[in-house]
Amino acid sequence: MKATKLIFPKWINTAVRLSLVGAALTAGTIAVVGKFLTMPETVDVGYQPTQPVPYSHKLHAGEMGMDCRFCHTTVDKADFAAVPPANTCMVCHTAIKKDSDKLAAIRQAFADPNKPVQWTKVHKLPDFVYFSHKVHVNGGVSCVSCHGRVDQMEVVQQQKPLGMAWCIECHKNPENALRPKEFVTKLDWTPPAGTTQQEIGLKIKNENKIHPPVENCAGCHR
Amino acid sequence: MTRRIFILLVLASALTGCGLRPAGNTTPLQVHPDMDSQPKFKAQSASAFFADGRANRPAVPGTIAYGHLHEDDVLMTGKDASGNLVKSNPLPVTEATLRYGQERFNINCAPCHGRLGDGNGLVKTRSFGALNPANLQETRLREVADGHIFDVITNGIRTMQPLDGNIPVSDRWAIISYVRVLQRSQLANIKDVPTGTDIKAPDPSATPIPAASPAASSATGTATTSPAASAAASPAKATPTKK
Repeated sequence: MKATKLIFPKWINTAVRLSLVGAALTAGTIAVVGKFLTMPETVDVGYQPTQPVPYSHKLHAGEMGMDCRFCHTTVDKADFAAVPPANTCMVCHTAIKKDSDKLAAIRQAFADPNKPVQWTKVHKLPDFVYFSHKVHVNGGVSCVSCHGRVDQMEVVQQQKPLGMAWCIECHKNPENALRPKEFVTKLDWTPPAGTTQQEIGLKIKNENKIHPPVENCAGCHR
Repeated sequence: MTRRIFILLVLASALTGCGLRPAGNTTPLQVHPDMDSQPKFKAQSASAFFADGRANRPAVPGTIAYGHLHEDDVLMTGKDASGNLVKSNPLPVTEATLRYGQERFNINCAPCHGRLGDGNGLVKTRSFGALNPANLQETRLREVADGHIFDVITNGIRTMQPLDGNIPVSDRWAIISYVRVLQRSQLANIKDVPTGTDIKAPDPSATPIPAASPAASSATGTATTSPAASAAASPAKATPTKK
């Protein structure tokens, strides 16, 4: 019997196998590159918008040592950390540097409460995340854990990724962040000599029974 | 080959974070925007619906929010029914109140009045002479009614602006309790130290410390035994030391 004429030459077998391997490699490369290009560490860290008033946290919170809560009054009482109204600025600036051009927008907002200063939000979470400032602050998580050394920033910049993987890291091991509540706004706090962060964190975690949600999605998502 | 080099370059730049990293003002890229922005208002967010552009709404005139009916005049204004400043704090003085008052004093008052209440806060020293915060250790302010301090925090006085928006009512009273502790602590003498405490006897040649004024004595009972008091007072001033 005469052999049937094959449509494809025999080397096609090798070519198909090779192209499958090639497709897998390409897909893998795209996935890896895509992951690194779009992760919060790449996309969000470094955001530093120009604000309508050149307020310096470095001067107020750093050099003058004002507590974060002088302005962000609700941070340990409510879920959100309030951006202060112009009145708070004017507590001092009715007297200090009262004619400064840099403060013109503040004076305007102070004169007309219906036209507040429109600050640009720096640290954003998606609307499906229900983060509570008071729970974290009163539990012993310092501002510095999520916002970095704001007391050294002339213009506030996002320094932490604030992505879910990053949140979960701390939720799994809260002892790496917990500190005595009275030092929550002391951004340069370090554990006293002879102790470690882990020792102090574990003690606070056990004493206050701190179990942040890890596998319970509804802990943060509703 | 060129393609491989390109991929390596992209990968390297992504890894070092200079790929899509926002430079300053660039709004961060939203990779999966699906439900990031929902049609709802969060605290202090902007709103295109209301004329003033704010999602936060002021209370409608003539209405009172649930739980915000302030019937207690003494607590809310520091004045009694006939409009006189109340002499003493309507909140009970407990260690917890004093500790809380200490925390709130250090947050809200210390920037100008100093941690000792002596009127030498860091803001004052940086104010180019524009601010002259009161020295809370003055005899006049030791003898003043608690209601007066409440009134000043609430409505301001001279260059001091009203702080009613910053400090809730109960916090104000806690701060007042702690101010009394501060005032008392600066008049402390060796007799205030509980017996059995291991300290050196005072130097008889040291300047005698005047007795506490009557107004400050309202907080005395708790103050002298409270750790808050000892924590507040600087060791150099509170404890008589040998020269």
